[in-house]
Amino acid sequence: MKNNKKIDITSEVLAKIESGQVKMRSKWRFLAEKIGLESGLLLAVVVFLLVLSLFLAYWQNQATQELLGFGMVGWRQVLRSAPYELVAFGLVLLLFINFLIKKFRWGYKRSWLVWIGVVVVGGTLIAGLVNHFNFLTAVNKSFSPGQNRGMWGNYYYKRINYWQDKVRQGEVIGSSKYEWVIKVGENVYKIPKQNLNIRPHHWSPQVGDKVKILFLNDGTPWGMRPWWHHN
Amino acid sequence: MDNIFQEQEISDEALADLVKQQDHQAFAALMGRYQDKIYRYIFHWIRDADQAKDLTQDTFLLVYENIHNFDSSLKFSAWLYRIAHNLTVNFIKRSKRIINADHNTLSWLDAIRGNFDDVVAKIERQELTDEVGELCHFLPLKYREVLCLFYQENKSYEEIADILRTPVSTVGVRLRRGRQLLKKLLLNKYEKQQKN
Repeated sequence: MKNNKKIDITSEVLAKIESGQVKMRSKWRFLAEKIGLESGLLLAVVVFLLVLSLFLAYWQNQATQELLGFGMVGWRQVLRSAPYELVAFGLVLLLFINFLIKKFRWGYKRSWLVWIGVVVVGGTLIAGLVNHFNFLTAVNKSFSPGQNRGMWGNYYYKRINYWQDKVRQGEVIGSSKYEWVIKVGENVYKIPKQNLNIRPHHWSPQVGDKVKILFLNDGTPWGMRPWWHHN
Repeated sequence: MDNIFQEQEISDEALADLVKQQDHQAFAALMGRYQDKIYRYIFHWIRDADQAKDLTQDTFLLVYENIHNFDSSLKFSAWLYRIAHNLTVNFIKRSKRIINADHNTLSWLDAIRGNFDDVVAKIERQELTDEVGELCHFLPLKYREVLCLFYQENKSYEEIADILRTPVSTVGVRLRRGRQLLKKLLLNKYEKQQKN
């Protein structure tokens, strides 16, 4: 079915415009919308990068790689302590950014200035991500136990150090058929071999070896790895 | 309506700038240039003359309302088609109308039986004329819209990308797949008809 009919709706449309039924929207309104959209997008991207750097700092500081070295039980511990609130917030932000990008009126004729702007803003944001990551690591190192770090500081510290405080250096000072005797600081732990994840097919600790012990939240020694593996 | 802009060689974008200054004659000139094209484009989708006329009118009213949102450094026609396209797609979704022709009856094939080989050859030569354009209604929306804009409205890849808000490469891929599907569909139906 083809329709080659010609129409003339000009007078009807102009009548509606001239009668005031249809009004032209102010350019200021579009400008305000545009500014709101662009600043909203920029803000969302900045916050997303902050969340991403916090997640990376968490990953680096949580002894995550150490835990993964313990196989499935390690994976379970990682999953148990993962910052799900950060992941969820990051996903929400990504959806929001996607929504804002779709609202943009992209033209196929893009000025070279736009591309320069994208490179400059993108580069600045990535530099910001790296700086924030370094900042988190520095903040983490400068904190001492019991120090009041403020709301965000406490959150960061808690998030970054979920596992780190629980990885401590020790020394194997004795061994029997069923137990390890390990000294950690001033404390001596007798740990049943069957309770401790050490992956014996990979490593067999000897008396005098420096080891790192991973403790669970309740203070129970959970896993043991050679100390050199840590740094 | 006499319009001083109709005969003059003033670009669409320059006319749009005049419309921004409340120049109704400039707007009438733009309508004169595009109302038939937009009407045909919308009609191609919804196959209802009265409704297509209403949607054409709505398109131009929306253009007037939002003219300050148009960036004169871009192509006016692409912006206009995007508004028409969005209105049409919204209308189709809202009314839940099935615009597609009936796949189960083969009566549509009768129209091109006499020159079947010629139509297939046209698809191969990438010449989508009106008779081939009619067959686009058997394709999924995403292929149909690209084929329609490219062959019937003579839009470039870049303009189609702008109208549909998809990357230019996607337009190329959909165009190619649309043609392949069209040919496959045509051959399948023809073979079926031959057997009967």
